[in-house]
Amino acid sequence: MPRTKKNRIIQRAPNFSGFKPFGVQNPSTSEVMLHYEEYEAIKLYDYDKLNQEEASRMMHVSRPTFTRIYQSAKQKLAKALVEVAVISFEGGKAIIGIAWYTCTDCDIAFSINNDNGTKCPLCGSNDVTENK
Amino acid sequence: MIIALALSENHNNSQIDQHFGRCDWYCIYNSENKEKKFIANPNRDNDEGAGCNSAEMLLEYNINVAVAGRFGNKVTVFFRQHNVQMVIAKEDQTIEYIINRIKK
Repeated sequence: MPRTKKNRIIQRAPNFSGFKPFGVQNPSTSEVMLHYEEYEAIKLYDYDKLNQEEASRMMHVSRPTFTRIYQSAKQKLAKALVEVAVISFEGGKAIIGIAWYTCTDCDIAFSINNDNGTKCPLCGSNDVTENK
Repeated sequence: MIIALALSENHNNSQIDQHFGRCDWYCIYNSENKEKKFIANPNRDNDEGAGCNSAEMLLEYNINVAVAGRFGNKVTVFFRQHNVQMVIAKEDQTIEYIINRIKK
């Protein structure tokens, strides 16, 4: 049996669930599942312009592992673009490294520091929910 | 409480910018004396480290809370180390909205 994968740390899950091609006559039924850690890898390396060393440290995996995650992400994106497939974010072995909370009154999300408890920083309301 | 807001324009009706490091303006707002101060973002066209440079600059104003549409990964780590709370605002929320939400 293969060894279980280590957890990959992501900073924040995307707040939408995927991409759909538009302008096609016969929508194809194929679907590409992009794992959360792959989305994070693309974001760290291509969008935030970190190098692979820094990005791997950010995700708490080794540099070669980051490269594998990134390559798999690229391959899936290419497949989706060429085969006009739907991209949906799901699966993988990712956990969120920092907890985000939502205040329903203010309609904002926020992080919590150690000392100030789970209170909305703006209105001070205790009516907050943790984002999963 | 002193909060820093990432803005697209430098007036009171400006929307919160969607990216912390790459916004055009920052507003430093002090909720005690209700003073606002607009600063242009000098790092917005940097190739990398835009967020961190701005975060360091804002820390000099002793901010407790930072507001933007989205924070980069380096900035998230940096603000956590320096005990600055991060607030993620929705796209259509303006600086007025955020400031008015602050409990008197």
